[in-house]
Amino acid sequence: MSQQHRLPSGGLIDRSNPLQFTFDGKSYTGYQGDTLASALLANGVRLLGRSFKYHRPRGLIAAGSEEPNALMQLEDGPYTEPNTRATCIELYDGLNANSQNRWPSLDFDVGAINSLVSRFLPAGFYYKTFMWPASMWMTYEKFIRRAAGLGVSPTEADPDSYHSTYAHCDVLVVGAGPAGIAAALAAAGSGARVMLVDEHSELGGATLGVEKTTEFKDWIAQAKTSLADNPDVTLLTRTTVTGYFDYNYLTALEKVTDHLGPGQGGKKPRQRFWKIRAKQVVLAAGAIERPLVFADNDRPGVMLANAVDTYVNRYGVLPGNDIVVFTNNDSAYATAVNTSNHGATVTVVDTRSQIAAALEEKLISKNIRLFKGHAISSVQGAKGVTSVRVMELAPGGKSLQGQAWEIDCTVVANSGGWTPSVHMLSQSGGKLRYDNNIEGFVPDTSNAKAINPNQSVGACNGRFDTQGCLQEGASAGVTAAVNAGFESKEPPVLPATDEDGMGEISPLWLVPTVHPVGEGPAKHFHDFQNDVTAADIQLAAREGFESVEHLKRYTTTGMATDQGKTSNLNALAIMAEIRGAQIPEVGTTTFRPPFTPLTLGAVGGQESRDLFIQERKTAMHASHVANGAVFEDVGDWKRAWYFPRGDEDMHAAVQRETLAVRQSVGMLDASTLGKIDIQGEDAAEFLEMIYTNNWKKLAVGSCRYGLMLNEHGMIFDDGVTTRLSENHFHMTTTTGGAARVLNWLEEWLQTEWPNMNVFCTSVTEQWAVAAINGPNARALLESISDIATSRDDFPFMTMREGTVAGIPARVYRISFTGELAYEINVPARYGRQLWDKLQEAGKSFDLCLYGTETMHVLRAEKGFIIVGQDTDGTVTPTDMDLDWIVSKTKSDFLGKRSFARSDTARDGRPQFVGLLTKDPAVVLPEGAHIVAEVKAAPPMQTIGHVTSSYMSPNLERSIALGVLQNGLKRKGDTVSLRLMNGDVIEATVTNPVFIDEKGERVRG
Amino acid sequence: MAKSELNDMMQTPLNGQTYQSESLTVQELSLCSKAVLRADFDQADTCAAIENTFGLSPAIAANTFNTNADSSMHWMGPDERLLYSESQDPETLTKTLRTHLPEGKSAVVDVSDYYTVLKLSGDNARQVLASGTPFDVHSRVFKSRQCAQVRFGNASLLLSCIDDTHVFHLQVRWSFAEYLWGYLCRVDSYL
Repeated sequence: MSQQHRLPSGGLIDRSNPLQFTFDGKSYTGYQGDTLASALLANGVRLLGRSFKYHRPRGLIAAGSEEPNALMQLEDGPYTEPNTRATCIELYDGLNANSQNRWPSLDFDVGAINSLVSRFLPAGFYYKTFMWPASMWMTYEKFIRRAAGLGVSPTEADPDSYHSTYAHCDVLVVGAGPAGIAAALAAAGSGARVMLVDEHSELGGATLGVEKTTEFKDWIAQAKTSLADNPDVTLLTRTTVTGYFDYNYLTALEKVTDHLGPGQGGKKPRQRFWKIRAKQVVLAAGAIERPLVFADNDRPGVMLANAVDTYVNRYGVLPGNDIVVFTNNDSAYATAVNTSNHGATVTVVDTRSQIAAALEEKLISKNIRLFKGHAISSVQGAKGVTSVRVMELAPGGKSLQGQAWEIDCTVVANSGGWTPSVHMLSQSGGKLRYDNNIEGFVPDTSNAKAINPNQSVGACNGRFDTQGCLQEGASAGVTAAVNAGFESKEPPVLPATDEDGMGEISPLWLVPTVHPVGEGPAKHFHDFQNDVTAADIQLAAREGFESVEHLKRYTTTGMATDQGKTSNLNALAIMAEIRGAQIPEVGTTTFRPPFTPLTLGAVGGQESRDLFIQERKTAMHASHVANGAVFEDVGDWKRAWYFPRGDEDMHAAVQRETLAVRQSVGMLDASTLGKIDIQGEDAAEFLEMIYTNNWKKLAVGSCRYGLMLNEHGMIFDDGVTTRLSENHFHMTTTTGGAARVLNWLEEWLQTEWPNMNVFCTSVTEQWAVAAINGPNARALLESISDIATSRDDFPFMTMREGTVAGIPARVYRISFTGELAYEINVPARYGRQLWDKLQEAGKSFDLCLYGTETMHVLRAEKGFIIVGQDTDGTVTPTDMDLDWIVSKTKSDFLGKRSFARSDTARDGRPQFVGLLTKDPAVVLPEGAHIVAEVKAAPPMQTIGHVTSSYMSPNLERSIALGVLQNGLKRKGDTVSLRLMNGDVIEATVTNPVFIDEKGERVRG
Repeated sequence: MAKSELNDMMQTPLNGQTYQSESLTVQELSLCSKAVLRADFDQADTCAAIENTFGLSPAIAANTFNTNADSSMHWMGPDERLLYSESQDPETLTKTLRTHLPEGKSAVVDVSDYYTVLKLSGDNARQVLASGTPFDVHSRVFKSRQCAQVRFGNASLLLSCIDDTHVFHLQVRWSFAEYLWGYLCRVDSYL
């Protein structure tokens, strides 16, 4: 029979729109407006999963996001998503869900043996049992994780798209129940920019699950229209506020197309992540009903009372025809009356011996049997409730007495009271106080965090009656708008209501049974998701884990996907009873984001795939692609790495390119080098402080290599700087260091030398740069430029302006290869033309395009360092044999004073050397350690390491650069390098300049 | 080489391309001349000289820009402005500006090619911007003739609100133009 628990009418579902779905391979029918939970319940499916540890049969407990049990593996293939709560999955046609944590089937689960041996699996079992031997933990862990598994992650890439966005508002209202709607209407009425956010698909909050008057329904409908039509209001349903951070920065997850089914959202993203900055926040997050902790309270069919109401009123599903309502407060009486009105046979068991006469009268009028001062002593039915036993509570509530009544039922609707949802308030830094009237923690408004202005209203403030919620909300909405700078306006008209909320409560935190808790077969669960029982709390207390933080970690209560929404307060209260303390003395654990689980895809939003990190390309990039370049990532730049011809591999291409440069001419795209324009009358003085060498006397039109140190005297960046005019310099930096150097310059200018007239401007991408290197570089330039290029007209380390290929250019005669070289700078708009024209003109000279790898080999042949490769932030110019560039005459420069530090000046520092392997065919691995003495096995004393290593075609052998203790004094020595694989390679310590030591080629 | 020949050789990072959807248009504008000015703009003489030449004074309120038929003057910081010129070539622009600014106590830097400018318009424009920038781009807050240097995704932008009909200019580094383009188009498809 299909949908045998569906009521003939009622609910917010669309009965004209039936939907087919499958659960554990079996087909069912539900309606548009159902959740997977309500549709399964309508079809009489009560067994929805197996518990985490004991594999006990479990069914629905709740109807909302607090559901701890009904975790589903939703869909399959790349769309599969584990651990989704059936109560939060809106039903769509073709939905396919499977239960989790069972094998071979939900009905017959081998893992259920854990339940039979549960006496041997108490809290802390794994920690205690699998400690020895320690080395075996990695083996144990695999089995433990499999045994205590949740769902399965997809192995395929996520096919969905996600959107993230920022938003700003004057007033953010969290929760669209009566309080939240009233707050949003009031704030919007003042003209404020308002965001109203709610996790449900409809406005109404908890009232979606209760019977409402026509007046109230009309008010909600009008509010919805009014808010939706207001251009200054952003109304977000299916959206959960997941975190509350400082300065009123909140995040929210909107499920944009999840309810349509996988891949059915068209171009719309699956989910949207909101990053909201609000001037004022109104928290109207409602409250969560907590279960009573009684014997075997986890049987499928034991549900929260409000969940039963919600299934009846919102979804038109009566979970069972025989219902026992078990409560310690007044609110569950409405459930009794409601279910009775829909035809159920209802019995009420109230732990209190005194209740209001009006309540009793209500039951009498419906022929509902009432047990006052009684409790459920046991629940029968392993895979679904079949009956309960009810006994009288002894005075004090610690034991039972008298006759046991057996009541046949399929549903136990229980209520242990209501816990205000203070998660967001707590995350905002707000403090809590315990309210004895409602037996729960509520916001302590005297202890709010000033940087996060917010107000809590309605049930999350401990106010449970609808009228009170409405009025608190409206008042807070007005206050929030005023605090955000808007004029106070009349609050909105509110409907009349007569619900009185939770009413009276008399707590009974742990319901006794016929044997002491933890000693008989029955279990008192307080945390369903983690299978934590009251006996586990007792054990924790016996073993000294009394602090709430210890209790949480020892028993795992409050962890996992539900984060203890239904369990936390019960755990605290039980611990308080054990310790003989008040609940506030036990304290609360920290409420951490996210409020409910969220996908990482949504957090990343659109910034995935090609938008994850920008691919920066130079103006010549298209030419490189056309020339078949292979690219490497340098920072976020795509730089041409090498230009293979035919079947060449990287090694062959680099060897060819390296030879070609030194034999004729090669061309490199050097556009990515950082460039900083420096102007002002104090510019030369400034450079004197920034660099280690002298700058004041640099002639206009001349270039100079400079080394920058940090305050510790360590090399930080290097580059060539050119004097364009008396007060104007053009600085170059390393590609990766461009932003860092500009920040460095600005920091000193702005914080230490604000009186200097110096202005620094990044011009990195203003200029596209082609570097031509090699003995034929001059001839190539001459063939295409109007600049006089003779040695005298255009000497080494100078700059000339003119045209190249008809394009206005600055040409710098500087070299990173040791060859005759020119770096041709043109405005980026002409970059590609310059490259192509040079390539054309270069044909007469066998011009070879080369990439960054060849550049590395060429500079290593000359012993030129790369900052960040040959240096690591711990070496001084002296260490790198660059003393020649450190001024001995300047009174000061950045880093100078650190040369006198004992560690900087000490003997035995690592120093820069060349390394030539005994076998010229062996290329040392970069990073290889030079050891003082080779031993059979580590540890061995490291006295240096290789920083750069290549096969040099020009030298027809391998070369390497590295740092070695006292290396400058050890030239000619033989050292041993011990590799990771155990091989030992011997090398000779040499001068790091392997080619043209006198520098004749570069000055040619 | 003649100027027209040079112009034929010019390229921009997006070659002037246009994206058009129902609610968003993105277009790379043709290159104009751009110069960064650094000086003490509390000096009336300095401001008057520039205003006489360009018709725009650098003495403008923080985070605003002023514009005429040829030029735009953007406030970038207390001692920094950015001038766009349609008619003057970059070399002329920087030379002209240097004559108006005190030698040694100012800077003029040609950044014509450093940046390209995308024009963003359409009903989705503000939402598309809000997707990438933590800056509040709501019409109550960010209005015509206001500009701001903002982060958008991983890119830094000079964002200018051209008018209140959802038209914006996004000045971005040459090498980030392709990234920005992809970002804007992808987000538009999600709205």
